Formats: sequence, structure tokens, C-alpha cells
Amino acid sequence: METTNAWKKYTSEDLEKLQSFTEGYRKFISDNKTERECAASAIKLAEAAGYVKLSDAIAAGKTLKAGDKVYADIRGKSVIFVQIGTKSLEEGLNILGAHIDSPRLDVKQNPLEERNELATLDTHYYGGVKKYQWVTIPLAIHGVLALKDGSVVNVCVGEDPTDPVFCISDLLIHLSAEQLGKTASKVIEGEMLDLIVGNRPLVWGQNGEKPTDAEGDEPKEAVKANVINILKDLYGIEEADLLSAELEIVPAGPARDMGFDRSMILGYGHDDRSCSYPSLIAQLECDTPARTSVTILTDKEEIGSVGATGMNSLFFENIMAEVLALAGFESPLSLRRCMANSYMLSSDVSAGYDPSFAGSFEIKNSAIMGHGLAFNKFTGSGGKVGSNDADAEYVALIRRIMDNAGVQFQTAELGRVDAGGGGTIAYMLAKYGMHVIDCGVPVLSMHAPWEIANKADIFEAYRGYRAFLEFSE
Amino acid sequence: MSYKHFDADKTRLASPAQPTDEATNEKPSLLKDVSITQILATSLAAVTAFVLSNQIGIAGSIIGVAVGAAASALASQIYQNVIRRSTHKFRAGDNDEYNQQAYPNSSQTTLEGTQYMPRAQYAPSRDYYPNADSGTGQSSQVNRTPTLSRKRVRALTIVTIISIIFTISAVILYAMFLSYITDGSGLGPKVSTTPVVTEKTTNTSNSTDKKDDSSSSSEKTDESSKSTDSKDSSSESTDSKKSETTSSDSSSSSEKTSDSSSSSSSSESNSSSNNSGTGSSSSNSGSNQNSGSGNSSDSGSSGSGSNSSNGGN
Repeated sequence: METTNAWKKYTSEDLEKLQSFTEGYRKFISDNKTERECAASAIKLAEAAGYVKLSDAIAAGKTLKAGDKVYADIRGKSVIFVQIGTKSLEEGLNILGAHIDSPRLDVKQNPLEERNELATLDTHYYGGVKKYQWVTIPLAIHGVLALKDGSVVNVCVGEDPTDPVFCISDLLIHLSAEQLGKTASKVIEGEMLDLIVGNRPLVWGQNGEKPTDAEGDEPKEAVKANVINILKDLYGIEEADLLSAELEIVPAGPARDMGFDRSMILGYGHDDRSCSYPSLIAQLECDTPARTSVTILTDKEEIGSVGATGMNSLFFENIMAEVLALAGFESPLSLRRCMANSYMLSSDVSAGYDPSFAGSFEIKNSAIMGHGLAFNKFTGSGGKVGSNDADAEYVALIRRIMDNAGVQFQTAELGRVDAGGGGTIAYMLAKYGMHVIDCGVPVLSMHAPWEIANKADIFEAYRGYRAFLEFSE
Repeated sequence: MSYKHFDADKTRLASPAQPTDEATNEKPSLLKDVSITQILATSLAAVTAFVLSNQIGIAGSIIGVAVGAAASALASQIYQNVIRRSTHKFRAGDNDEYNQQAYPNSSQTTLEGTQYMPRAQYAPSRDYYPNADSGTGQSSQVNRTPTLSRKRVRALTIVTIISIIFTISAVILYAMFLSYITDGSGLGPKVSTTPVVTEKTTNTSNSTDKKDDSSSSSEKTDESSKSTDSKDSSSESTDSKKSETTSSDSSSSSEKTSDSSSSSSSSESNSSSNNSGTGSSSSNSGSNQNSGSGNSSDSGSSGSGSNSSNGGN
């Protein structure tokens, strides 16, 4: 069975829609590189589309009815959007689930140091990364600084063309005889990922006012002192305030069209914003559905969906209990019935077939770039371990939905058997008894600072998600 | 998509097909994987090396034990591989037979609506499995199990014997080789306490008398060295010169054993020395100068060797 390239079937009207949609996507991932930024932008878009905060609806004593739209977030990192359908909630939901965190480097709590007049920030990588990919590229700092007075300062340095950027150094090739003999996992080790943030000492009177009690011409660790001085000027913080910060190091700069034909996008965070953005837009554009539509944008997927904002938490279950209660279903049994009768697409990127590494794939069961939305019946590793394995009947239903909507889709596995493995949030929702299958956009260089995705696949993902949300038997 | 570590160890832990002790919550047995064959062969190799120590010397004997242990380990591993191979063969046979019994008819449908693929032409015919028609798979399994056990026991016995022979042969060959290249002198001093005793006896012979045959070990050893002379007259006569120059007896291990036994029973040797001759010849003769007469005439024949080393007497 061969699939065809999605680009072949597009009319000029389709191409126009595709261009419009993917340009919105390109801008979204350029502007939103952390889970907090994605959640905030998603909420802003949702509010513009008529969604109200669930807590406000509860406070107002509102009764939810068909067509009502609510959302809820937790810690500004995970968000759930719900649009009530015409059918009873006990008949189940159509759920889209994607994550908005991406592999990155997190700044340590006590990060700042000076070594040989170079000021650096210590980092700890987040998610699965090839550490050697993160050196010698321009990097930006995104995140928040929470101060003791309760205020929170947003930080974003390195994205504006006039901003400075940051970098992690690598050893020059001339002295790399020993380094080049190491395995790839050891060439750059975790503790070597120190972000260079300064190389100019503080000099009283030149770039800083000398305190009245200061002695000598310059302070100890003058370069570090200069960085602290600048942080104080920019954000009004002291070094100790870094203890309560969440600063994330991400590749600097916007996503770009890629290729002479502009068929692809090179950007940071395709995993999993190439799924979460289409899911969000599909949810927001969905007219009053028959079955209640839900879109989950979740955090912490890259590190196992743990924590209060991860999919393993009770956040989703609690929010749905609140929604059911507002809709008049206050029995705990209603929640169980609702969950068990639900359908879900666990949306996460798939490994695009890369001819440069053909040995890691099995071509018949690989996601081909440009061939549309890729469905993974299962993921996992070492014999499907840790995977949700969708049942055949549900796969058949998905085929019907996609074919009826004319969505270009393909089926795939994550590379060759025993070549490695990966996981998604699918099995965490499947525990309720609902039907769940993995699907997503094929991506090249997954988890690299700059990943590659095909515009047609992103567009087909949006079309497929929308068809799924509007489906009802 | 979250990344999953896939190094071999973690994959094994996660794989239900290969449960570990941790996964099954079973405490591993302390004697798990202990090879009786290896223990037996190594022990016998050590004894052999010890027996040969008067030929190859103490250092040679130590090396001999190492050679024996290595040979034993080698033999044990070969044994395990033999068992593993035979088990693999049996299992392969089990699977084929099970499949044939579970699906004897290619068109059979066990689950409602389930259609099985027709058996391929190259599949083994049922003629290969005469038991398949005679009953259920279980009965044939029951019939075969004792056969398997007998085979394994026989294999175990054979390989154990071979391992022991192999190990001891290795030690003996080593001893012969060492003896050959060292012209019979072996490595290091040969097993004997005589030289030490000689000096001590010389220095303390008088005091020993004064102490009324106290039970010092040197005395007892001296006594025994005399007594062993009686049994080693032949070796001394052929190599008495060498014994003198090397100040060592060519006493056998059995003699050394009697030495140690006499020294371990000091009270016995004391009493017997006091009785001068009423005790056994092995324990009385040396410490009491008069006891020479108490010894049997046999010991007198070996006296030359003993006297030569016990010059102080």
C-alpha cells in the first residue's frame, strides 16, 4: 500500500488555505517557545473565539448548554478547551490531546558563575536531546522570574533582531583529537552545557557606579558582577532571585520557510506544536458539534507527563468533573460514562522517513514527509512496551472519518523494530476506557534545536483534527 | 514525542518476556548458579597439587592449584554450554510439536469468525510427530519428561567425570612439566619443617630436656621428622646428599599429616615422651634422647637421614 503526496491533490484554493494556515503556524511557533507562552497565546486566541474561563462560569453559576465554550488552565502551563455538544455528555467526548513543552535547556537554580573572566549560566537539559546539537548556535532565554513580593517578571531575551543572543561553546577542531575519539553521547556532556552570558568586567564609573563602601578599582569576579548589574537594570532583580526562576534556553530566532519550494518549515518546537497548534485552531473553528469537543494542551510530556501540569495528573479529570457538574451531570458515574464513551486522538509528532538514515526505518511503515497526517497504532519501545495499542475497530473508524473528510493520511511506526522508541500521552487517557490512537505530523531531526516539518502535513493535521471533532455517529 | 532510553539493560527490565528477579519480586537463591562439578573438580585439583608439592615445591604447588582452578572453570563452562545446547534442541522440538498439536487441521477455526491461514506446503507433515494422533499434547509431554530427565542426569554424570579427569590431568601434566624443567627440584622450598626444627632443636635441645619434655611444637616436629625417616628410607638413600644440602626431607604428604597430627595432640606426645617408648614411635623418638631405644628397629634404619639433619643430637 502506497500513499500519495498531499501536494499533488491541492487546488489553488487549497494551496491558498494551506499557505494562510501554515503562515499562522510559523508565526505561532516563532513567538511561543515555552509551554507558558503557548498556553497564554492559546488562551488569548480562545477568548477571542468566545471561550470563557471555567472558574468564572462556576462563580457565575452558569449552566453549560450546547455551544458553550469554556477553558481551564493549571499554573499557566496546561490548558483544556471544551465546547459543549448537542449530545449528552454521558455519550462521550471527541478529544484532541497534544503537548506544548519541547526539549530544551533549563537554567539551574544557582546558575551564575565566572571562570577566567567568562560569565556563564549552568543549565540542565529537559527531555531527550543530543547535547552536542546545542553548542555553537544562537540561543535565547525565555521564562519567568518569581520575586519574593509575589510579582512575576517575564523574560525573553534573544528573539528581537536587536537583542543579544547567547551561546554554548565547543572545542576548536584544531585541539579536538581526544574529543573526536569519544562517542556522540560523550562529546558534549550535560555539565558542559554552560551558556556564555558575559565577557566584560564591571568597572566603576565606566559601566557602573562605584558604591560608596567599595574598595579598589573593580569588584571580585567583575564579569559576573557586570551581568548581575545588567539584570538588575533590566528586571530589577538580584542574583538570589534566580533561585525562584524558570528560565528556558531555546534556539534564538524565528521559524523559517525551508527549501526553494518553501514546502517545509525549519523551526524550534515542531514537537509538538505542529500538532498542538492545528488542534487548537480546529477546536476554535469547530461549529457547535454533536459530541462535546475537547482539546488538551499539556505540559511535561517530554519528561514523562509527570507533575501537576502533566497528563498524568488529575487536572483533566477534575476539569471534566466540573464541566459535567455545570452541565447538570453531578454524579461521579456520569464522569466515568463520559470518559469511557469518548474518542481521542493523541496528537504527537511522528518520525519522518529520512533517506540519510534509511537504516533506522522500515520504509513501508514509515511516515513520509508530505504524505499527510500519520497515524501510529502504537508507539513504545522494546516490543511496544509503554504503548497504547489502538484496537482495530477504532482504527477502522478513524479511516472512515478521514476518508469521508478527504484528509490525506498515512500509517507509520516509530522507525525500525528495536531501533529505539518513544512515548506519548495516549496510554494515560486510555486508562479511562476511551478509544485512543496516536497521530501527528512527520518531523525530521526530531528533538533537535531546529526541526523540519512539511507544510502539507501540518495542514492535513488541521483538516484531520477538525473532521474528528465534528464527527458523530 | 517523548524520548525513551533504550539501552539494553533498561529494555530488558521493561520487557515482560525476560522478567528479572526484581520484576518477579523473588529473592535470588544464594546457591544460584553454583556448579557442583566445578567445586568438586577444583577441590580435587587442589588436593592433587598438594599431594605433588614434595615434587614441585610449595610455589609450584600454589601455581598448580591455580592451574587446576582454571581447568575446572573451563570444564564447567563447557559443561554448561553442552547442557544449554541440548536444552535448546529440546525446546525447538517442543514448539514444533506443540504447534502441530494445537493446530492439527489447517482449516480449523477455534474463535468464532477467525480464519486461519492454510498451512504452508513446506510445513512438516504429521508423520514427524507420531505422538500427535495418540492423544493430547499433555500426555505426550508427560511421556517425554522422564526421558529428558534421564538424559540430563546422564549428561551431568558424564560431564562431571570428564571435568574432574580433565582438571586433575591438567594439574598432573603441569607438575610433570614443572618437574621436568626444574630438573625435579620444583619451585620454592619443598614441604618440610625439618630445617626450622633443626636450628631450633640445636638451640633448645638442652632446654628442652630441662623443661621436662615440654610440648613445644618444634620438639614435636622434630620427633615426627625422626619418625618419618623410617618410612622414607628409600628416598633418602637415593637422595640423602640432596636432603642434607637442601636441609629438607623428602617426606611425603602422609608423613606430614602424621606430623601435624602429633603436634596437634601435644598432651599425648608429652605423656608418651615421659614414658619414653611406651607411646608410638612417631611421637616419642625425638624429644627424648633415650627414646631412641624405645623406637622400633625400623626407625633405626631411617636414622641416618634423621641424624644427618638433626646434627645437634
